[in-house]
Amino acid sequence: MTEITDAVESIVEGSDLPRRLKDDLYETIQVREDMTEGQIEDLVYGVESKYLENRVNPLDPVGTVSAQSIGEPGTQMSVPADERVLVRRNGTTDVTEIGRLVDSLMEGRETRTVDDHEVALAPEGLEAPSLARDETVEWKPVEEISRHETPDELLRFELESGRSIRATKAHSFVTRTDNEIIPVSGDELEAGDWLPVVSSIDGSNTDSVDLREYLPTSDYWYTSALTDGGVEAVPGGPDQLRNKRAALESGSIDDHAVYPVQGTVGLPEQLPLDEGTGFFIGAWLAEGSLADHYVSISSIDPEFQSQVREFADRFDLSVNEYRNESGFATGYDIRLNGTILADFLRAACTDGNEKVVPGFIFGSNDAFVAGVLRGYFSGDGNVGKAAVRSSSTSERLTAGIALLLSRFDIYATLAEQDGSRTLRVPKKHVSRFDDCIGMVGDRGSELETLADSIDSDGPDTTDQIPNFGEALESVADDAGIPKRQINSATKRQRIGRNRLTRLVAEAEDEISEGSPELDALRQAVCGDVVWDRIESIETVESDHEHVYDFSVEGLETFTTAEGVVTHNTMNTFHYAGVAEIDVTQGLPRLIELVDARKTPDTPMMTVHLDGVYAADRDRAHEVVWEIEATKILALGDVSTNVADMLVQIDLNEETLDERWPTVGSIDDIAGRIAGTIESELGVETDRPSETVIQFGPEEPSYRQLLQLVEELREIVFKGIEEISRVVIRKEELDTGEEFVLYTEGSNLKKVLDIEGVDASRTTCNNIHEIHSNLGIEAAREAIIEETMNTLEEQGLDDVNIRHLMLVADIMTNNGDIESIGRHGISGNKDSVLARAAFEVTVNHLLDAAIHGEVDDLDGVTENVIVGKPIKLGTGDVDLRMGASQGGAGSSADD
Amino acid sequence: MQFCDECGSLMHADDGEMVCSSCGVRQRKDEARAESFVSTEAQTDGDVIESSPDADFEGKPTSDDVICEECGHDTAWYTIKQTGAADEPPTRFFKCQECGHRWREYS
Repeated sequence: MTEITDAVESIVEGSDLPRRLKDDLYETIQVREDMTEGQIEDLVYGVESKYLENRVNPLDPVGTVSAQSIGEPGTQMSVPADERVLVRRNGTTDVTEIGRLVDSLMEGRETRTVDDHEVALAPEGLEAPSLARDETVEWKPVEEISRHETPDELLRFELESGRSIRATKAHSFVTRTDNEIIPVSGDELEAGDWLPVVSSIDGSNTDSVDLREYLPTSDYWYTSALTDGGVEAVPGGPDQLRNKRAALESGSIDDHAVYPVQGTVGLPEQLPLDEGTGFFIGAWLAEGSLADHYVSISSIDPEFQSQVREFADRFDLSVNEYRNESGFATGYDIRLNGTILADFLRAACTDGNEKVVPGFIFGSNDAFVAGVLRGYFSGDGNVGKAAVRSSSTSERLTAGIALLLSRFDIYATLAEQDGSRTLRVPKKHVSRFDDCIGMVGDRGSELETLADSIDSDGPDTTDQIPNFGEALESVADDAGIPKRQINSATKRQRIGRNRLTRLVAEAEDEISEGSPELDALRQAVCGDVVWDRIESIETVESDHEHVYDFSVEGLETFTTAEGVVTHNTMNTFHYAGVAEIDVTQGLPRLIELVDARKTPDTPMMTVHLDGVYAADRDRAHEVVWEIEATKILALGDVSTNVADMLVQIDLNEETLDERWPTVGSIDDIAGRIAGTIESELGVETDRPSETVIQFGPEEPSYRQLLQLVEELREIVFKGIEEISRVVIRKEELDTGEEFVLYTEGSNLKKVLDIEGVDASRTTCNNIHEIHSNLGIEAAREAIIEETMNTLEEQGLDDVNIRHLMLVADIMTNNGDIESIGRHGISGNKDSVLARAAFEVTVNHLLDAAIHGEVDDLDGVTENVIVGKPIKLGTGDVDLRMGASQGGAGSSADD
Repeated sequence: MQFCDECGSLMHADDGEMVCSSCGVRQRKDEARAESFVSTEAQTDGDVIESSPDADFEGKPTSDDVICEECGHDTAWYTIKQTGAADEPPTRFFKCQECGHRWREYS
């Protein structure tokens, strides 16, 4: 037994260990026999050094992201365990290590294994910021989380702005090419390529932080726990509980506040998050230090000091101030006394010995965030000639501040200098920085002077938009902007955001009609991301067992704590020709074809257009409305009135105009619709107003009324009954761009008659329809085409087309389409034995016997059955012995 | 819907009054409830669906370690499917980004 003396306690408490390990140490020491102080010191030192060695330091330069599945087959991209990601859970925003988050979520959750990946559904309410196709950043729900074994090598990307990312090689990122955001796998990227970094992000609006999350209720007095009676764990035992309750009643401690075990200096349990508290936290992050019972902040700026004092006043904290002259500089320290404040800052804003931006700030309101940033920059920041800078020894702190700046659409660049991390707000953003955040004291006025003096619309090298293709050139052409203005940008394929904004505004004045190129540029200008160039790429290793991944819906990207957006996908191909139409593929389709089914499982047509219809979108739409079946619910609302026994149709004028583009008057169209209803349903209609049609059963009858409504819904007012849907697609063909229609359902005959349809190229996937409309040769061609396409779709294009031609020939050989199989080709063979050898042997033999059929044994099968040589190859000739003998033998047939 | 107080049959409107279909009793029309006699089915959204040839490949992974046999292009979209038994590697299905040629690779 070793007693825990004050000396022992001071050794243990002096170590840099978490509470849990310290408690373990006390236990160990107590159990051991008579340890000397020296031994205890050795023990503590040993534990401490082991702990420090194994700890994942939050500042470790770990990149960012994670994403997924690309590269080696069956391998997904992912990020290592210690990459920090920005997530929001049920409205609470936090920056967390992906490994810890995913591991904890997977525990107790049902997981499944896909290609060595452990995958689980994400809990409801887990969200990550995600890049949408239009370059905006939104919070999207995380759908799945996964992890798998760490591969041997990871890639680490260093970006020009100082940010970095690590991910597996297969991990897919997104980049910008030809005005589009496209996924790209990590090992395809090279230095000089562009990756998106979030420049603008929406926060939530948390107004307070619950100190219980940082200071455990078992170690501190929460007065609300005293009053609601349900106190289970109390820091100081029952006597203290009574004392505290008495103190609360006498008013010497406050309600809804938290106090240390001994003492009456506390803080509210819900610390409000506003400008004032923000400034204090920011100031402390920049210039503060911690002791056991007080917090100290040093600054010589009077305005800065007064803001700190204001905070102390507000929460009734006593203040001591010290001036120290140390040779060349004067220092000024403000000390705020309060154990709770010190403990809270230690728990929330430090990790090890490093200051960090606490997670709750990312989800808090704008005023608070602005306060934090103002406090931080008023302390650590300085105003340069064309930028605002700050520097800190903590990389995580700097990265956190950079991400906070994106709350105000301010994009900062990061760098490393003399062992400390610097952050720079470039010229472009200085005025915004001044407007939204600002600084106090002398720096504040310097900042204002700078903000006034610079033109924030000037050239800017930190925020450029890359790879816009030829869009800029063509927009400039249309808008009459001189070529020389944009030549160099087009050539280099990058342009400053400000410049592009001005060019787009200029072009908008000139170009009145919609131009896709202009839209693309406008989207680029308004995006929420900044494109950051890759400076270097290196291969690194990870010590962690797993790498991790999120699946986010949409473009499937998510954002890491440094703001770099990564991509994730686990989609498979849509095999059909048109994504929007589901078409039977693969073996089922092949079976359908050789079985010569009367109608395919999913009938569809490919309709090519003629002349102007193919080139003009509106004319193409005209054809669409001629083809697609228009039913009543597409045209307007249908009301059933059971009291008056009336069905009332309220037509939508816009829809009518759109679907009958060639008919001018609404009245005329509504009249036609009424006429169709009259002839189809045999009722009298009447039209109380131009777009309202009503009718009812002749005799009042509830049953008939409902039946009329049912029948009404089935009437086809325009278009072809069989065709339920049409998809229009602009395609690049040899002859140029043209619109092509794809339909769900088919009726070749009717479609071919429609004006604007190019009958020579239009086709459908129903071979019988082709046969009856275009003849047997066309059907043969269609069979070859369809079977070949089906195989190609599966990547089996190395099947020789002659096999398929043979099949098609046999199927169409007698002028009709016959299936391969018992009911078709095989069942129609001339030879009884050949048929019997295929299927239903007994039936064939019986029928043949009844009808007295004769088998000539010409085929292969028959001869095999009866044991004769088949009539092919050497079996095809008969040999006879010659009559004469000797030299000049003559043929046997002589 | 209104029912006859006399015989309980369904009533219908006639000249602003409700008439019992079975016994012919006339009753005042309950204007306040007239609304609930009407059920409306709203118009469905019937806009033309426009698509683009690349729609089915949006967000698909790409691979540049392959060469299209048709056109020699070196980038293709691909997807992976387990076509064989569980102890066999999956098959990769490629589609050339240039010419749309498809093929598969059994690794």
